Amino acid sequence: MSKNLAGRIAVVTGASRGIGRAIALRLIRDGAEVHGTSTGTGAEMPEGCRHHLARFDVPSSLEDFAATVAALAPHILVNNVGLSEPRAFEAIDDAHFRRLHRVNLLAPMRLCKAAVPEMKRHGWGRIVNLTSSWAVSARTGRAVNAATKEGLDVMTASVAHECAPYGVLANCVAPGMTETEGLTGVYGAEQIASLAQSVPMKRLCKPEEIAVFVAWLVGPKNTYITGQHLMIDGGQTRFC
Amino acid sequence: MVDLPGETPLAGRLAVVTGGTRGIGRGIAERFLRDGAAVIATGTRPDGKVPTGARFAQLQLESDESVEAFCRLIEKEAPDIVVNSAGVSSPQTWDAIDVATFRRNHQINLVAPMLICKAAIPGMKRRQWGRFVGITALSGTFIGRKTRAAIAAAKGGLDALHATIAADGAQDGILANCVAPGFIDTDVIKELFKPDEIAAIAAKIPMKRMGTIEEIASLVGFLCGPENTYITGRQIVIDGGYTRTL
Repeated sequence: MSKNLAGRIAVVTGASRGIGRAIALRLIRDGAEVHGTSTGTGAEMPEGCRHHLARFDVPSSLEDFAATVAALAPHILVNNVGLSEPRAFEAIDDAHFRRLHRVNLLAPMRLCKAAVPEMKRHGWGRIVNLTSSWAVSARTGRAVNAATKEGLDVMTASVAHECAPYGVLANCVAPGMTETEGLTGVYGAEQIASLAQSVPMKRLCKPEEIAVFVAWLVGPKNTYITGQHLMIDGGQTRFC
Repeated sequence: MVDLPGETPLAGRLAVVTGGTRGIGRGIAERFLRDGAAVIATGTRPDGKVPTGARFAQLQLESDESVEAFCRLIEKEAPDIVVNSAGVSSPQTWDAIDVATFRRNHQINLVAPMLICKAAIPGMKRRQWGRFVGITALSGTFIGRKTRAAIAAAKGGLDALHATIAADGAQDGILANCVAPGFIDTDVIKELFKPDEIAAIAAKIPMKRMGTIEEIASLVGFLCGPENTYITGRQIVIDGGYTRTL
């Protein structure tokens, strides 16, 4: 396996578990120096991933980590952290709305803003922001989450437009239902089995299947895909 | 995660690429060869030149007999990968559209690819592994452009066709996607537009340049390779950000 990201510095938010962990591991395997965030002590990070404590729902913590990103001057930024917090529409309050917007939209905006100047100076940069297939196909209880993720997509496309002449590509990746603690924490085994039946491939996505495509998008083989919202969902949104 | 067999992820695979004598199709055939696949590439003329290492097959998509003979070859060879790249554009204004031209366009862009896919599916099901990629266009799903009724309708159809293959083949290890290239630096573009027109087009693209054949081939290579195991039923735009700014 070629180390086609050797010499690249990457930042992955939420790298201690789930999709973020798989992405961090994949980028490390491809030779990148990977900096990952978690809300814990760092003991939970994948091997080889440098740890940064960051809580994106805490303004001062976001502020600190944005400064860290500016200092790291990464070539690659993957905004993976996102809150889902499904809630009936009538139960939404302003605090819920603000918390999801802070974590899912404000944080990626601040981190992109911190990373873009040096990417432009290098003449090379790759941004991937993770959304969700449920941001695209409507689901009960997902109003605020979907609004933040659609906002993230449009923001990313705008970054793509603005930074394209500088060799900076920006895309969103929308995973379908993926086997993570985030999903198993919300749904029971029976519900997960029935969710899997709703996918044409009759199984959920594995975090590694998201990671390979993210690695491809941020690697040297992608030089012309930018401003896109790319779905990895085993065919689900196309048919269901 | 699967371990990649070194730098030849397609070793042991047989790929069929229509339109493999020039442009994007040829670039895809070259990519597959570099990735270790055996390749059958088609061209319309009997003396078509395909990349070194590929096997040539003559295929005239507008001819029922030619398509029928090619489908028999596919049934026999049972390829792992099928890329329908050959296509035709027949620009006509609405007042000039005639049924014969529209039908010929659909025969080449949609009916023949459907028959080619149909011929390849049984072999893929037997092996429980297959990859289809249809090369579409921005006209069809993403932009409406004057005079492009025939190609837009056919390419939109090609995308829908691949989505239904994706639904049908999902449990048999068959993934089907389309790739929609933006403005790509090919001989066809140079025939269709003058240099100053090409410069004006490039200026409208966020990346300020046309795409290259290799950039399209690289994405097709990923989609058909061992690392893509969950992207299916999609149409992926590769256009330097162009359509997103419209």
